[in-house]
Amino acid sequence: MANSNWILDKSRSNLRFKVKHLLVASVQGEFRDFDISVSRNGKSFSDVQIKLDIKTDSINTRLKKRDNHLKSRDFLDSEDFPVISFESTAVSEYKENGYKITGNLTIKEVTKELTIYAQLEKSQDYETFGNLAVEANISREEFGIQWNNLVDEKWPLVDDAIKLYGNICLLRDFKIDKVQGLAGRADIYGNNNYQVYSAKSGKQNGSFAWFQLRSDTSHWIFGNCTGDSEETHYRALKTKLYVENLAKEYEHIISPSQFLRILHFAVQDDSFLAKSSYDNNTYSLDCSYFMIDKKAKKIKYCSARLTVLLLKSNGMKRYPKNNISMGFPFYNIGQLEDHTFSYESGDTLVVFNEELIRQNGGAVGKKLGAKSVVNLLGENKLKEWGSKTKHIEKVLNKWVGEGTLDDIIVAQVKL
Amino acid sequence: MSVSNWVADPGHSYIEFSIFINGEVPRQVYFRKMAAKLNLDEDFEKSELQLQWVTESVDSGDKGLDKFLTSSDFFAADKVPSLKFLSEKISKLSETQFGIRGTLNYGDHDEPISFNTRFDDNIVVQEDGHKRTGLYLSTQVDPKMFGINNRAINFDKGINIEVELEFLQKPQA
Repeated sequence: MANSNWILDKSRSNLRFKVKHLLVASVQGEFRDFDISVSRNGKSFSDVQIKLDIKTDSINTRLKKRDNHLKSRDFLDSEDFPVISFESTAVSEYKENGYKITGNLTIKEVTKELTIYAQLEKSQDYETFGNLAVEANISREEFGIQWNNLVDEKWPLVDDAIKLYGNICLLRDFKIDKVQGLAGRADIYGNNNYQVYSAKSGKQNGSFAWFQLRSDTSHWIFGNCTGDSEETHYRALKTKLYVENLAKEYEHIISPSQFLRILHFAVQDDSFLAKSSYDNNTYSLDCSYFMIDKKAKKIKYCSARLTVLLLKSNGMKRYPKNNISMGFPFYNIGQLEDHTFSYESGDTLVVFNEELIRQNGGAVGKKLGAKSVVNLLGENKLKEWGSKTKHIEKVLNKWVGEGTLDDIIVAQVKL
Repeated sequence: MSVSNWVADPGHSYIEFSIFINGEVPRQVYFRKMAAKLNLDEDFEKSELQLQWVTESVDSGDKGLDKFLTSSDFFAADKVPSLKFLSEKISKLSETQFGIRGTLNYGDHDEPISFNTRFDDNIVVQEDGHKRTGLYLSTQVDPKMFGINNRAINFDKGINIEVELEFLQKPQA
């Protein structure tokens, strides 16, 4: 992808080091806070420019006393030199997907040339994700860090050679304008097989995003996340890309509940999901995952905070189990369980976010309520597929008005 | 042949797993609580190694991942509080490279496991009389051997285990 930037996916990246202690064993540590920007000026990875900033105060060797010594003037002097920086000057491919990244490393105002060896692991969707396994060797004495003690007259307490290594997971930095179609307000999507209705809040801060996945297969995910306007859209796209990659990797080998458990990790990472509008310390993701076995006419599913309905010609069945929150770390994640139900041709699978409807109410503070939504969907089920949209849109938009705090998602799939 | 007894210095030792979760990127997890003993023979092939680590002390820097790893989906820390390795045979491969074969005990399971090992035979004597020496072990295992059947883990790549041990011997009284 020409002329695009890549940003660090912190949740899946690390930057670590090893140094020999008395030359008998290595002490291992990491920098927990670092940032990297990668600008791509052409199609090849050789065309990138890389800038890496490492916060010296974030050094962690799992021993506080040692960390404090490493942050002191004997070593990194974190107070006066808070950042170690690296800027690339040239990148060349020396083997398949293996790159030499040459650049200038600056530690405590001393700048030396450094070559980082990087193995690029292209993900299935390289345009959105890529992973660099990096490795470099540094002589600390070259940067003026010479503190040492000799034990038994010949064994240095801390070796001069430091091996720097880690995994740098990169995510393509999308522009906001590319997200609008994915996370808009009051958008209606669909065709003759599936439809999604979303009604966004008016002037309040309950922005809304949704994603739908893999309609080309028998695996479906519906989800949304709440938060603030453009940031929500941006995070929603990242989340969508994350989920898509996850699904490509696992959709044929794991169960819906396992899928949501993995997704749960991402909920706690602030680079993905939007902060909840009602509590900035929590993150919110309403999500369901369905595996539709068309041959056996069975659906295996797991749902977090979304309610599942099966509309049949002679009534409807509601599946409130596992209607739990994924938005709060560790909260009830143990309750994620797989469920299976049978369907017949012509039935409709419906998913909607019941919880938020109950919590925040409509334009004049009147709660639409899960029961109303169920009744609405029930009324709607006998209508022709193409006309369902208008009826639901009319009811939801009337309820949303201009001042509600909340959003609604209703997604239907014809089975 | 004289045998000396050594214990690992936890401040300069670690046990680390690399697991593949969420697809393409390895996640490194280490164990905050570990212990190791080495009965070091002058002939290293006759030495004995014991290794133990506490499953609940897993630390990946990601609390969500830690919770998952200690759950019944992975290590089942409530049922299997610790993993133990006991060496049975050490074979010399080159001047400093050895193979250490032994048994890994995980709950009710005993599984054979082999480590590639580097031992330089460097012994440092500190001013206070303490002696130090080191051992580096690595291997790759199939998660199934731990009874882990969670298919969210990438089975193709297995679990890499890396152990770096700095042993300490107190001065003789």
